[in-house]
Amino acid sequence: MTYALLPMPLKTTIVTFLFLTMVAGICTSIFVGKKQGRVKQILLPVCTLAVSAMMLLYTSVIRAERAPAHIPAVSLWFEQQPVIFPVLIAGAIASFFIMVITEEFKRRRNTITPSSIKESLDQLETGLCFSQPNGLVLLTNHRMNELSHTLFDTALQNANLFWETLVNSETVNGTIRIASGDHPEFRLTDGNFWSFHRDILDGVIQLTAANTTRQHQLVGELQDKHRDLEAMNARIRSYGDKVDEYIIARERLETRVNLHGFLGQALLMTRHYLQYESGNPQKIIDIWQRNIDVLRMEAEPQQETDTLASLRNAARAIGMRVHMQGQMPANVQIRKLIASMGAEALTNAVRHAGAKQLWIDVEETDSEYIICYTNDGTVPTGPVTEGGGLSTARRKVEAAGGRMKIETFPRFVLTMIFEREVTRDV
Amino acid sequence: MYNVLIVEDDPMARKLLEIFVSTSEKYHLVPSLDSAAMAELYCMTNQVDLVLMDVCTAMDMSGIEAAAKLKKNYPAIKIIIITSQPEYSYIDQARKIGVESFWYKEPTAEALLKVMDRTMAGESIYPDSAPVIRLGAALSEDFTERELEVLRELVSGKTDAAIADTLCLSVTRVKQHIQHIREKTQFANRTELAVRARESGLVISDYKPM
Repeated sequence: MTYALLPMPLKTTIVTFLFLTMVAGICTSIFVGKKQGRVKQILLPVCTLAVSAMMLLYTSVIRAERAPAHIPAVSLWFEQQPVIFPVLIAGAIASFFIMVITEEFKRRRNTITPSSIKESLDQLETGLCFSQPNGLVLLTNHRMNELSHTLFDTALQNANLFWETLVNSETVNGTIRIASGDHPEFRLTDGNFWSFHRDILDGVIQLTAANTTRQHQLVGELQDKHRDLEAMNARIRSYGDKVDEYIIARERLETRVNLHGFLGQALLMTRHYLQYESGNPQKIIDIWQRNIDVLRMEAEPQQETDTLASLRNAARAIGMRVHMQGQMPANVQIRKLIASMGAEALTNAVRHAGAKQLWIDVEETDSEYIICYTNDGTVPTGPVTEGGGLSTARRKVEAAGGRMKIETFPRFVLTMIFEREVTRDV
Repeated sequence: MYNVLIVEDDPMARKLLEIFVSTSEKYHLVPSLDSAAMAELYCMTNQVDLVLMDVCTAMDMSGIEAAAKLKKNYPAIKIIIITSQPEYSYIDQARKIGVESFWYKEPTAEALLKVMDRTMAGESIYPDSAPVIRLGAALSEDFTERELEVLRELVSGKTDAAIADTLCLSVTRVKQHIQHIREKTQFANRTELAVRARESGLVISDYKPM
């Protein structure tokens, strides 16, 4: 069927469709972006084709309405063509427009534009503000604006002023400042924590606001765990002291069992001697003598040996005397250190000064224990070099939280000082 | 006859050692000491040929530390380190400072006298290794030296950060070592590990290798 044979309503419809196609083409050329040059190049011939086809077909409509009208030959030829021909042209043009519009939407969706950047920033959880060095805001997002309102009840209009406010000013609406300085931080009434930071990026000032609520929660949890761990470690230290006593007691028991074994041995040897009169009687007597010594020692009440008494006894055994003046501290660790330092001082006094007596003076002030060691030996002629013994002693004193000093004039004095309340385990 | 000095803080153990030594006519006992702090002074003023030195002595003085000073100032004096603790590092430390012999306490005089005789004859008598002891599901020989160092600090009640600081390790590395030790021992937590390790004597927290 040719176009000429179509009823008038259909003819009018096709012409109208082509007219609308032409209008759509013009609108599309306005709608598409500047970078779509290829589309625009195609749009012009498409619109021209649509206009041509419309004009040619419109003549057929005119002829039907006004018979005497002059109709060009090309129009007569066109209206004699199969009707599918103009329909296909119209359909192709319509498909083309749909494709162009679809691609344009796709392009806009995938292309970064100023508005897409703004939209993206507004979606961020982090607050952002970019400004010029004079504070003129170039770009800011919803979060930063919202924080400005929440913290100070003002809009963010000048980034420099906003930063000064963040650093110095009082907050409003019940928010609390957590930190000042280069990293101001605030706690909002909703329980969230926000930390601000300022950077200079190639002439652009960047303000960022990060939500540190989770970080604070984790720090809190970590502190709780640390406290638990400290408590557990304290229990381990306490247990350690007890277990030392337990180990000593266990070893003493084993020793005692061994000593009693000797008693059994003595009994067997004695019985054998009495029965067969063989063996060395002197050896048996010696064994009994040792057993009696052991039994006597067991029978005597066990006295805790005072470390200072032990030092005095050891000094006496080598013909020296140790004099102690002042009240000895109750702290066991300090008492042990006084004794071990006394041994070191005694050794050095004998070796270097030919001393026969050592004095240990303990002075107690409101805040310190001051322990001085002096001797009756010759005075050093020069500065004292700390060898293995003294340097080890200094290490122990310092590990216990004390200090040590040595004076050589007018006499040799070795001094240890401990604060009364601050004494660590050695 | 050799003069023998016994340095032992426990009176019972000291008495037992005196009994052992006195059974031999080769040795003469000089007055015993309870602290290694006095050993050098005693050797300075008296003739001593052999010292039986306990590791842990009174006044918190380490026998190994005192033995090192003795060997430096009086190299002619022979020393036997004695201990009942299985702390793994004692043997290495004793060798390092040049101590002649090392003896794990035994309840017989013969064993000690044999070590003393051979030591005075110029031999150096050391056990092949520290006694193997069990810690949970592991044996003491299953641990690396580093793990034992970490364990020693752990039983003293230190935090991971303090252990890392003491041993110059990262906190992460310390955690890894503790995790490895727990996997080997099968202990449920670090508290149990610390308690059992302390009881075993595998590591002595008060003792710090030189």
